Amino acid sequence: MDWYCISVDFAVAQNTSRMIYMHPNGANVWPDVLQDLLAYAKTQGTQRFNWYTMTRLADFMTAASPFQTRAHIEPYVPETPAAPVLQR
Amino acid sequence: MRSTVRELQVPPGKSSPYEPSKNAAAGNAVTSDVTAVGALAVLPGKYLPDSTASQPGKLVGNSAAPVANPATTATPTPPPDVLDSYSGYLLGNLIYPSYVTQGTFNGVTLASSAEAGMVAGLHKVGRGQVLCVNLPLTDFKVARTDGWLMHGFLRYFAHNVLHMAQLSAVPDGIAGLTLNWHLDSFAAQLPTLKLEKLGVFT
Repeated sequence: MDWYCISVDFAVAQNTSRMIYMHPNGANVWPDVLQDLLAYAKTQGTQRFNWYTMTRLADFMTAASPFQTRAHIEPYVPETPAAPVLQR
Repeated sequence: MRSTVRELQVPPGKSSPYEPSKNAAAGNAVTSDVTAVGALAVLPGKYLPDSTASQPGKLVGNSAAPVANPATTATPTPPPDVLDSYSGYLLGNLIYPSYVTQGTFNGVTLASSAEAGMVAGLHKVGRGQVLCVNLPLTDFKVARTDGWLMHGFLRYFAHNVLHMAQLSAVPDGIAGLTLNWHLDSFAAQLPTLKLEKLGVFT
């Protein structure tokens, strides 16, 4: 249970997201652990913590990217080197 | 320390307490490998206990970082800020190459190896600071699909050193987790129905 809680705390403290995977067969053995995790996450409040689907995060990282929608990249054209100056 | 490792974006479960005794049998003095001891005691079955005591080094967070980690203050049972090393799921110790360094590092050490010396640290130069990372970060990221060190140190540099404005990595700047359910076979159907009745998916 502690690991789940500190995983929630880590996401909040670092303002990031992480993925946890579970098998229903295993989760069903300790349903109280899962329910405690959900309850602990709920105490964070919806302005600090959300549950995300992978689709939601993928959409955010692609369609919402300002670099993808607004970036304008000019092709690199090297400058023509100046002609050497002859000194007499 | 664990707080430093967390600031390097290593989440709980991807680092574990550093145990010098596990490295006592290291016999390859030639290598400059930096490794991490991995054994997660919190979640039995999720991580294998360390069985690689003969590996040559460890990549560990150091106690010199002055910034406390807020993540350690809000948990029901605050974990102690212990010396941690990188670890991987089912991999135990993670082995990373690093140049061997000698002498005392005159700065804030972020990561170190018992065998290879200073791995990453901050030191002052003039009126500024230099973040030295003694690891081939690009090679890890591009050639070995292992980007967490590069992203962790870049984030540390931008956030902790330069205090730069950053694009949010999460929607609306709200942190979160994803619960990824593995429904491998028909055997998952009945347990899934039970979890549904418990309200897990609502």
